[in-house]
Amino acid sequence: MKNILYIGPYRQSDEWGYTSKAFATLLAALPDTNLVLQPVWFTGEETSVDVENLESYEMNNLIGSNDVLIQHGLPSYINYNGDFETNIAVLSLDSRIDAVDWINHLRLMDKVVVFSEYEKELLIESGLADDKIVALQFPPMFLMNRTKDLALDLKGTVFYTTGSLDRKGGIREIVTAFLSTFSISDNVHLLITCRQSDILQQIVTDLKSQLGIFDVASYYPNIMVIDTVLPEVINYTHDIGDFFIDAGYNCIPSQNTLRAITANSIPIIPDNIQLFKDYDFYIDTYDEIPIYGERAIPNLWSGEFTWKQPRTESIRQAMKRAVGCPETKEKTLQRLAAFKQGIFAVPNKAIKELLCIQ
Amino acid sequence: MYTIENIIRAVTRKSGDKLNIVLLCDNEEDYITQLCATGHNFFIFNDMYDSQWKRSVEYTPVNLHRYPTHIMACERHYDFIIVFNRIHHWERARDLSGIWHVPIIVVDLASMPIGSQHPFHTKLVLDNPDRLLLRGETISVGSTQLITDSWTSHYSAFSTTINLPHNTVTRDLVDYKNNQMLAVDCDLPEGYLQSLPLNLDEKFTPSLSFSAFFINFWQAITPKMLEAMALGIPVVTFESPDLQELIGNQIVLMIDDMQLLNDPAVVHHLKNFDKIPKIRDNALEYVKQHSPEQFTDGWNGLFEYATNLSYTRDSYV
Repeated sequence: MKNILYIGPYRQSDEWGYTSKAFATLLAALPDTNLVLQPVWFTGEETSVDVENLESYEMNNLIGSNDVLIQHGLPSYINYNGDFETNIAVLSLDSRIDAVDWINHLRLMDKVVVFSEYEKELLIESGLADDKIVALQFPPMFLMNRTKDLALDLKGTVFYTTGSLDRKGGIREIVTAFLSTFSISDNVHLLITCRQSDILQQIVTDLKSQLGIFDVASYYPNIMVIDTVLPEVINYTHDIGDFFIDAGYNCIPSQNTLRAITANSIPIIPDNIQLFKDYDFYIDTYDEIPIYGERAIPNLWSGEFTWKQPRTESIRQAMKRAVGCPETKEKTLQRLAAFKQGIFAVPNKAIKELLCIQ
Repeated sequence: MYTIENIIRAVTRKSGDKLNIVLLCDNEEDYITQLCATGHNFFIFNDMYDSQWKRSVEYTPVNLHRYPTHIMACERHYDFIIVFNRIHHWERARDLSGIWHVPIIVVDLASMPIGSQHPFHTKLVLDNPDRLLLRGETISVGSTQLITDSWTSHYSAFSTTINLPHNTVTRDLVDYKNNQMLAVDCDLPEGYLQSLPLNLDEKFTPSLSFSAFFINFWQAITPKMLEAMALGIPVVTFESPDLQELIGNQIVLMIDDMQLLNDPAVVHHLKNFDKIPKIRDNALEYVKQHSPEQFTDGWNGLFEYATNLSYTRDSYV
């Protein structure tokens, strides 16, 4: 019987929160353990997500030995605690962290868990020992409900995406690639779910006039915007869509990428996510120096480091392949079906190995 | 990081461990001194009106000269925040609770019912719910049944409301000696009571013990008042509906005319009051119910209860 204390932001309603909730669910499924969960909020948000299946673990107290402490969150929040036999950190990052003191928070830890090989490389470059780092396959968390209010009848190939309109979200790259690749006669659609549809409409109009490929605006391919990011609506888009595009700067697959795979869609994702080897729908990325006024962490944004930004041209290539190569699409769907089989089992097995549980 | 340390501490805490408790208050020194008898470590924010506190969330231990007992060196993790019923403390407690992830205990010491119009009182807190956000489980502690009932009926977000003994007597008391002086606890201008033979010595207990009466200008049951009762000195208050409900006119002398105190003959007038022996006996009985042991046991029971609370930030107002 192992005593495990997990501290993570699983009650936050952002991507960190969903990842943490997925990780906590994995821990709860482990046999022969006494798990205690404690929520932590890193953001100033004032919501507390319901965690029906996990709530009973919050009430426990750690009685007996302190075996494993798992801290999930920003590296600056993670601290070694000598009362526990094993200290494990779980985190995500998008650039090197050796210029800020975050790396020192991780040096004492016994294991550091990340969710992609690229993040592992970043940690090694930042000066962390190789044998401490575990690259775990991203744990999924599924919300099964779907909206019944929408009834879109779309013929042809449907690309879809969701996300924010800021520069990190990559929405401009996606729209530019889509508008410059197809015309209205190509029978393709782009479906975008986002929070501020009016701003997005303006962005699309501006991009159309800037591109100037077609004389008449109505020759451009069809872009639909849904003004919500409710999970049931996004789940519905997974059902009707064919290709999910994630062009964010993150180095980990988003929960929506995994949901797309389970809904038999093909994700078009940046190559630094490295979910598969030799994947046909990767987007090439280039290194960008992230300088824009984020004064909160001065050293990190000083230009010493880079993050990965997707190439618009590469998104275009992937879109062309998606429409023009049915064989590639079929082959990828088969690969994804195999991946889907182990979507729970693989991280589950890895986490057992990590915690030395039979 | 404080947050993680606090969370680990909350989960691995053994019963019998000393708790680290942050107090947010202005002028409840007497009460803090009494709280120290519970044996836990208490910390107050030294520089309450410094605007820099938010940038470096930094609390310092209370002044060692003033509170010589049970104050340990400042440790960087805390178990609860105790906040008294001032609205600016509420806001700070809310912020700190969000950063530190510790529950809040709300204490209503003032002995006024909800209906009273006091600028910083409970009613104001309750009437401005948008300024309040209670994170995690919150306990409210009242000093009388009347107050705890009022809190509960107004504020459903409180998970628990506990009635604890009021202020208690902690000072060493000297023998009662009759005198013609009055001891006064007030913040009135000095001139107001100029015509009276007053005893306003800073060394309060000796001066009190040489007094014939103790006049309480506060609409509350203060520690000084209880000390006077324990010395057998009759306490004089002004008649108000609040105090009538809280303590009643069988334990203290209630006079309805404030101007009476400007009359130098008041001492003589009070001395001839035929109710005084009975009131003195009642007051001694009343003080027995507020013994330090009861006070300490009550608070320790509350702390034990509060250590089992989880911080899930579910309750909002």
